[in-house]
Amino acid sequence: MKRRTFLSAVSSGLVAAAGSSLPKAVLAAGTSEPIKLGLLFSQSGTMANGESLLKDTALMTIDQINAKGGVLGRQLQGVVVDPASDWPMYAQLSKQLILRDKCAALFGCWTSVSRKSVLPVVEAQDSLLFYPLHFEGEEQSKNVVYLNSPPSSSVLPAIDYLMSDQGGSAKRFYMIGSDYVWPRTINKMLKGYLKTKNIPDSAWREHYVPFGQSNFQTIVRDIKDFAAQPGGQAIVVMTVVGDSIPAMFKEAINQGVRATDIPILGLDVVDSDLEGLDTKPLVGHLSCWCYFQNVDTPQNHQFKSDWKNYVSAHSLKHRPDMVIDPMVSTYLGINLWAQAAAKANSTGTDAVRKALAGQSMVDPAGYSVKMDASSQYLWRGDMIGSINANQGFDILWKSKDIVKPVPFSPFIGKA
Amino acid sequence: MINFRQIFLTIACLVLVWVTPARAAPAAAASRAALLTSFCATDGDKAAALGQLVEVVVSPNAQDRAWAGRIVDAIRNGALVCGTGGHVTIQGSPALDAVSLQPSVAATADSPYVPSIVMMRKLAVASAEMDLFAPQQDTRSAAARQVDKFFALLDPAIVARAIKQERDPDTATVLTLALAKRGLNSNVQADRLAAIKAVAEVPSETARTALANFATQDSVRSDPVVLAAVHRAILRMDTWLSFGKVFSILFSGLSYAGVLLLTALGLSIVFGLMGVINLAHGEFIMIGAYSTYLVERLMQAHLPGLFDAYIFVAIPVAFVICAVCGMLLEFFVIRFLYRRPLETLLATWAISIALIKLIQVLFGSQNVEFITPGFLNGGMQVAPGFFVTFNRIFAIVLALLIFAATFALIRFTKLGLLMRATTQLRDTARCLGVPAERVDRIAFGLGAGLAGLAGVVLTQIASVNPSMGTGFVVDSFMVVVLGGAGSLAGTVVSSLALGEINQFIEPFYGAVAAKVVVLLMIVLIIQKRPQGLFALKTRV
Repeated sequence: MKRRTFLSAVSSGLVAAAGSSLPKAVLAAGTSEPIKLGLLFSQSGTMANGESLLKDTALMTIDQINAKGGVLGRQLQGVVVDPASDWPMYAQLSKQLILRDKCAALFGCWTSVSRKSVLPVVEAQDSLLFYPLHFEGEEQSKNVVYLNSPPSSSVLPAIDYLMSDQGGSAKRFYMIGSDYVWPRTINKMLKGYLKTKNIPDSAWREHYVPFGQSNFQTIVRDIKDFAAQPGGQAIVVMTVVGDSIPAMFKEAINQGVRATDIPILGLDVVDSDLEGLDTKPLVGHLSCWCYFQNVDTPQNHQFKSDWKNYVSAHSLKHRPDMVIDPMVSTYLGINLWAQAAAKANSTGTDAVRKALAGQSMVDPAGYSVKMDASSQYLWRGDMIGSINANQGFDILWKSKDIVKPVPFSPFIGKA
Repeated sequence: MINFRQIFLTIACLVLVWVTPARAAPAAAASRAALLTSFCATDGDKAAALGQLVEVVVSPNAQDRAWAGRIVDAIRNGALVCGTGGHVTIQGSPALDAVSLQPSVAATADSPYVPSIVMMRKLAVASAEMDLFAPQQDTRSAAARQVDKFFALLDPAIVARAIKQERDPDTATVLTLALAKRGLNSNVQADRLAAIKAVAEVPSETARTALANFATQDSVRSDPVVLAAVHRAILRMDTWLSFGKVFSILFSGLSYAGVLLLTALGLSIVFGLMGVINLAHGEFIMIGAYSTYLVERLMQAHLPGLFDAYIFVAIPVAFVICAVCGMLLEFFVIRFLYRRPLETLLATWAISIALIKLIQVLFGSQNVEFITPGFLNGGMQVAPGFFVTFNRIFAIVLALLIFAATFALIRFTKLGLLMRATTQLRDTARCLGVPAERVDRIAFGLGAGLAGLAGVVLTQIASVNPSMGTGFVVDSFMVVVLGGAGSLAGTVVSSLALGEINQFIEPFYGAVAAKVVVLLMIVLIIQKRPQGLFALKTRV
């Protein structure tokens, strides 16, 4: 008996899946049911820390939009799933969100590998994935909306700054990264870029460490050795991720490397990485993102206080006083989707995609961000943050205006 | 009468002189405000403003000097806040008005002045130059080293003055050397030769860089005498630096070996002597680290005076907590699974995951914050190019002490004898009246406790989070298998070998390649000697 009920459940599931391949616009029209948005963020496994922040940011944004009356006269509803930091699981659950839950759009993923795993699903089902992290670029799909900057509009300006007189006229570059696609692509691009700046090959050194490496003795010594060679000021471009970030910083502190000697540009460092560290000896090391929480704009104060209230109202385990760039990106993504759906008067993928081009809003960093009409990348401002003594970032430099995103770097082929 | 008048006049003059600075205050306040504004304005010339600040430092007026020192400190600490309408304050409780240093109200929406890297360098030098005139000898010598480090930015006039006033010969030498490095830029040949000689006396990386950069200048290339002197000096320095390099590779191999030894020691008892494949070994390390965390938090709250000693208090605490956990594990799980390695493996793996999740629920999955005890912060330059950090020395020393204690326990105590007897010939030992079950439990507890000690040391080196143990358990098994199951001496030798080989390969081919080579080597050695390097002679 049990087996029979199981079989019938499976077959009815199949029928439901077949039914959902109808055009979504038809399903969306004329009902007062809530519009579902799929939230594809891990709440367990190694990515749980960061991604659960994004999940709650998404839910907060959905609440805010609902409080203003929702979209197209309907309420929004976030459908939360937990891919458990397991990359194939992202693909499976995204399929479930699109087919079974009939979500109008997906918001999710942190690592590039999870995005790559969802990509074929959203392309086959013709849905939209809003991706909130900065990444290596070199990708453009009509089914993905890239909410954060590709390296050409965040990393390269930071390198330019460090090479300028004010930034300490860096002439030599030590690249240290975790061994996977993001650091390798970034460094490949960087080498191509340095070539166009007439930096000789002898002026950079490249090193990769395994995921989760915590012993940076040799690396930091090598960095000091590299910096002591003649040829000009050396800097470190650090693309290690996860636990390796605090480990690397700890070793740099112990071996007496200060920002005044060898500045470290940590491309994946956010405020939460500094949590376990005494940042006094780290003051002056750098990171670049589209948003730092110390930016002084009314929109940011509003966003931060909204987050604080949300965390305490729902008694979440997050720190109420910490907001990081990917959270802001998630917030922007949901708002932009809502604007586009309202403009298109539909939640269908095609209609939203058309309406999305050129959508703009003022982000918490104070820039008026704009969706690129052709590439589905977001034009955003760019900032360089300098680590302060209170485990956060002060804003050292920010771009005057939003920057054009360049998905495919012209420098990669030159390396 | 006349005398009296003279005295009166003299006193009047003195009073006038004494009062003058106070009268000049409004003028000073205006120039102070102007100085501060140039730091805050987006287009202000910050470098020039800092130059003016440093000039104030050597001014005769003590009040102005103190003020300039305070401002430089505030900027370096990110505490100088630019308010709306040119009102500059120094953050803190209470906030101070930056012009008068009187308590003031700081608006909340103000943003701090964030110095760029170049400015930070200049600030570091400025602050060191101020400290050169401090009354304390320690401050002055630290400042002199700092000035030497940034020799290119120093102000020759100020440093020359400091040398003149300096009573401590060592500090004066450091300053003279710094001036010499800067003096390489002189146009007189004799000055240059003297500078080269002075710089070559004290080999260091920065000195070598200075000389190497110097040797590429056109004016040097055209002067064969100077050029030859530079090359000789560089060659001499290279010899010293290469010694330093070899030593530092040896040292980091040693410190890596220390960590391996610490983490593997417990396992060599549990796996080596008892033959239990304990995949939860890494989690005992993690529990040891979290015990340290609790001790640290408690000491911070209740015994802030003895805070730095928390690491020593944590040693027995972590050992006992982990030993108790280990004995409980043995009592409830392991003892039913002796001689069934596959089931033990699965059961301990499950326990390992359960423990990770438990700690995640209790403490959250993020890294926990440790305040490093003061005496473990930083390191020292032993020789040119050879820098050792105190936390690594601590790890090495502790690893050796713990190893010695364990070795003595196994070798020279009755408990050790019983343990060895039970593991070598279990049935015979039982026939002779050895309480084998109890010995097993104690041995397992000992192994877990040792893992806990490794956790204590790792808090100072690695990041502490619930899943930290998983990486170490693989390394530990590698060490024990290579060294030979059951042999403590083998554990030492194999951890030393793995540590040194790893650190010798890493500088040349990277950490990934080092891991590959080490693992391949282990595979080869295990093929030739399946029993490991040091096989225990048993009759089983």
